[in-house]
Amino acid sequence: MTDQDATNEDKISEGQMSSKITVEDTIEWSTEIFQMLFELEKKYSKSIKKKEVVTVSEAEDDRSKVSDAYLYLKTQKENLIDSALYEDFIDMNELREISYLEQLLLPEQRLEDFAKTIAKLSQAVFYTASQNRFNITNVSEVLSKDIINLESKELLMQFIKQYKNFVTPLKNIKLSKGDILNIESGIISKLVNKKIMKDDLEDILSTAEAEVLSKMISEKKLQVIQEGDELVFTRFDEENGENGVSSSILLSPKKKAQESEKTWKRLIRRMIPMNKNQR
Amino acid sequence: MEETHQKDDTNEQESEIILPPSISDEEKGILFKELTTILSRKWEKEKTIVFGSSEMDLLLATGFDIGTLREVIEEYKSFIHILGLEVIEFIFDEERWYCLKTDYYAPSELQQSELVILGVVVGFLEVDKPKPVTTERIKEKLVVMGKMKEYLVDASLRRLLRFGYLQRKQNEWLYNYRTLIEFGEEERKKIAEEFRKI
Repeated sequence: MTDQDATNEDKISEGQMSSKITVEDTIEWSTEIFQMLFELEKKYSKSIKKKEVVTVSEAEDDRSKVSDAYLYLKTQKENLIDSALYEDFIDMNELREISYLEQLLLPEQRLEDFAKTIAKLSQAVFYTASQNRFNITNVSEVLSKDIINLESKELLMQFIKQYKNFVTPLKNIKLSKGDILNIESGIISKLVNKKIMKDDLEDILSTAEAEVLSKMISEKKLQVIQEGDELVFTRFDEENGENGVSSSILLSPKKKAQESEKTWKRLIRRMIPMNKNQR
Repeated sequence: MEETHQKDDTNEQESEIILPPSISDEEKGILFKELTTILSRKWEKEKTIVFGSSEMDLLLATGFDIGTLREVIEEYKSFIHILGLEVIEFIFDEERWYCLKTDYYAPSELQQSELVILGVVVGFLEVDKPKPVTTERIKEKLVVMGKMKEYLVDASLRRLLRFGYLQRKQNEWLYNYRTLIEFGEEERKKIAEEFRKI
């Protein structure tokens, strides 16, 4: 054996040793990689299930750790875990995007969506819609509509005759200018400088008079001031004119035109005359 | 003598119960029609809306013994199934009740706000069961965050109580029979998932 042979043998043995080491290293490395894959897959599937978002930077770190893992994986089981992890990365990405989009929604919109989902998920009970008790009403008191054909005049007359108590013919009251002036002067003489209870006023006014009174106030011929339940009527002029917010008082006249004259006389005694200084 | 009297009485009571040996088809037809009417009715019992009828009422109305009644109902179940309906058994007021439910989607009776409140209660109960669901907790979730007005929460809770979706024990809100009928276990879990988003 020459020296050269000896050196060659040494080289071969050295080469064998180094290849042995690299093989052992890769085996260790691949188990380590698999372990990492397994743990990451567990982590991501868990957080997807719980809908917990992993931040972009953390997910990116994890992804770069296992980006070359496929080089060391051999068995089918290992490859399956690898692909499952990549699917989880994609799902996590989607989840992250959805959660960002959801944050952009207004709380009301989120509640609306929530309500819709619940409505969709319900399987309602089947029932026939009805009330469990009758509404008791007196049959004779129930109002009904009768359509009367206008062409048959006789039928109409008969109907009016039959239901005289219920049918009141409508009257159009036309007031001439003179009538209005009469009513106006009547109102001025009876109301001005007097305190009148609101309820009493409703009793003594007819609808036409109430209308004229309203017209006079709006035309600034009269001025009304409310003092508690009492209304004070005064003539309106520039000196004593009150500036302020005007409010309206709802009157519902109860008396008919003919009756109102009598009530005027009766109630005039109850009215409290005002001192001119008193306002 | 007294003992013999008592014995006679019990014999009489036993003989009063009529056990139909076999119900004819015609009778069955009438019975099924009546059952459909009875089980699809909606009415109010002790301020809570209920559906159908209690087993006790059915026993009293039919005069059957319990075994026969349950047999009849089993047969009725297969009959009504053809129409897309199913007979549901539920416990209300510690009694067994029967009512009808659709197999498919049917519009809910609840309004939007009531659906939200129900969803919140379901969410709380499914996610964190041991912690009691109080009105304050619901309001903390919805009113404090400005998502809903307080009066709307109160009104919705009152309606849910009346409609038989929720019941109140002391200060705690719990499922009533109707939530359990209309929302299965899976549906409730889905609601709990959606609940996290709000």
